Amino acid sequence: MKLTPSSHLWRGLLALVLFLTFFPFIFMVMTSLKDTHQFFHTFWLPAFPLHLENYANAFRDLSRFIWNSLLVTGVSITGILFFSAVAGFLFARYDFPGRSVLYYGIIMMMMIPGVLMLVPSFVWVKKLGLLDTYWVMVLPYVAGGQILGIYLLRGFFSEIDNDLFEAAQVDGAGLLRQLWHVAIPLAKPVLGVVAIVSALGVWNGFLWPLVTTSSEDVMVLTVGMMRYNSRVFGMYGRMFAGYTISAIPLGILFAFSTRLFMKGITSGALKAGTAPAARARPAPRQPGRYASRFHVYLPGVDVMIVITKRIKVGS
Amino acid sequence: MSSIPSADAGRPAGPKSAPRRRRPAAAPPLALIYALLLLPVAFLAVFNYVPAASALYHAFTSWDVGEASTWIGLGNFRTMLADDVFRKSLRNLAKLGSFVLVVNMTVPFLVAEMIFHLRQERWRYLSRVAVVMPMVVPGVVTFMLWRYIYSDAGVLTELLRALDLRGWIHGWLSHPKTALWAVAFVGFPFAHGFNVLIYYAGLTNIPTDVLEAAEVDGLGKAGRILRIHIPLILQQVKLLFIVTVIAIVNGFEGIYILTDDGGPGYETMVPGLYMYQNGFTYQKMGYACAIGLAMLLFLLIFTIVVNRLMRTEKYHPGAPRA
Repeated sequence: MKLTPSSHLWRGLLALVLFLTFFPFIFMVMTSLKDTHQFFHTFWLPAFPLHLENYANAFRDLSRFIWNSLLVTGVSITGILFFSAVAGFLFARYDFPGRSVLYYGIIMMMMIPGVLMLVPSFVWVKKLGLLDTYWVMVLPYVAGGQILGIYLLRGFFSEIDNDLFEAAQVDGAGLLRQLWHVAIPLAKPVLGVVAIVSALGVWNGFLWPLVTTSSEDVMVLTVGMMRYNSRVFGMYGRMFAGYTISAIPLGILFAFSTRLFMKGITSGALKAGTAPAARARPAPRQPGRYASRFHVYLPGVDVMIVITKRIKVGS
Repeated sequence: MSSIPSADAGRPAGPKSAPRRRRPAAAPPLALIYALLLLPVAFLAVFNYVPAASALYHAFTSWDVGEASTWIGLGNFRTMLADDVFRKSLRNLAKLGSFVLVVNMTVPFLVAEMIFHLRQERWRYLSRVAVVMPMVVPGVVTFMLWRYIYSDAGVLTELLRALDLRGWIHGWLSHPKTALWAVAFVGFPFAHGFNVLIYYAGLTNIPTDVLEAAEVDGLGKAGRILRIHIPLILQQVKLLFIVTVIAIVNGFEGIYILTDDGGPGYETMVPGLYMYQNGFTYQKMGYACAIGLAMLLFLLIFTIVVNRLMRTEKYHPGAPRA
């Protein structure tokens, strides 16, 4: 690309768009360090001295919610990864009566957005006596989160050469040992993607915990922020310090796994694990950039097409 | 095989269509397989299938909290058609949705193009990281930030004061004329990280020789974008079209935080929020289920229609075209 005036223009535009995108967040961090007087008198610029006590105060108010969020997210991810790996492996590797029915029965649920079942789900967990517990969040999150995981891992495992597993079999490794010692280590990149997608989903989850929890003992951060907001009304510095704190956990995750994070975000839509698949199989046919070809699919739609085709073929 | 529905393109073959996977010689006992699958399947049955079945059934019932539901057939759907609030919510969704759809489809494309045109891979990578970074802030908090921006002591008010446009200052979210537009402009300038990444992935998929050929043929930058880039990323366009519409129809979390109850009046009411209010505020659970079902049916039909109408081909380098 030649250095033309227009390319300067494009770069300038890009910088402007990025600045505007970031502005609310820059403002948030800047204001989180001000007291109320500074907020009203130096609105647009950073003001000194910095009021770090805003963070101490905000953290005191939010620490319980943060802990709850970390707990719910951690336990949910563990469950999701475990279920996805086991079920994905079984569906990919073994043939057993009812395999297709079970697999499509699981995947089909991807088509139904959970938010549209908010009301009946609420009545149901209330009947189960789960309201206001960690379980009311963890159990449904695992149930829903495993679906994409099973889909991605089944896809991944069915692309791995059988030889690896057959070799393990010859060495006397049974199903569980093959799963634990061969399959899961190979699937680490895909499991990472599933973990990130789940972390984003669970950490950001709002409506479900909003309707199912009311006690601050189990309340997660997103819902707790609503209470916090009214508690710190008018104290802008403290309010923004709380907002900033809420971004730190995912911020840390992002800082330590930027590439995986970026892949995770799109993996609901882009086929994950291009790299591991390429490692497990012979070299891809096309050299260079072609190798990084992404396939686009949308799980829910995809399943629907498969199912309608099957119905057509069957009739 | 000249046209392949894109959704099929990257799909790992379904279990039945994988003939090379034979049952290994020393297959594990079936009981073990079923035992291992028991938990995942049980979770799904309890927390997904039961509520889904309940939603489907109760959409045809009148169901108040604490009372037994009674079957009323299509009664809820008839109520819906005559319900002024529901119709208002549909109009709001149409207005809000068409604006949000257009900006969320176009701006990320332009941003992806800008990033794609950067010369150094390092800057391209850093720019992508930058557009994704706002996603570490919980969505709920981002909406709270925007509620602040529109508030009396907010950024917009201060900006207008600094520009000496005091006459323009008003409660953006509380004035009936501006509330819906204030909601629509949340997220300005709409460089949505997810969408940018999808478009960008599409652009990097275009084989370099195609781009070079276009350049050799003397296509200008605009020509390349219009005649090469856009036709070759139609898969991504379709995907984002579907995903964005689904997100718009289902998404009322933001409106809940920004305006609490779809106010002022019903100016920012959308069907999702109305469903929520019927279920949890008015305690009309059956009606809420019916609204949810109507939204689901709309989305399913929409997705099928878009998939039928927008058949996209996969680009096969070197493969002869029929």
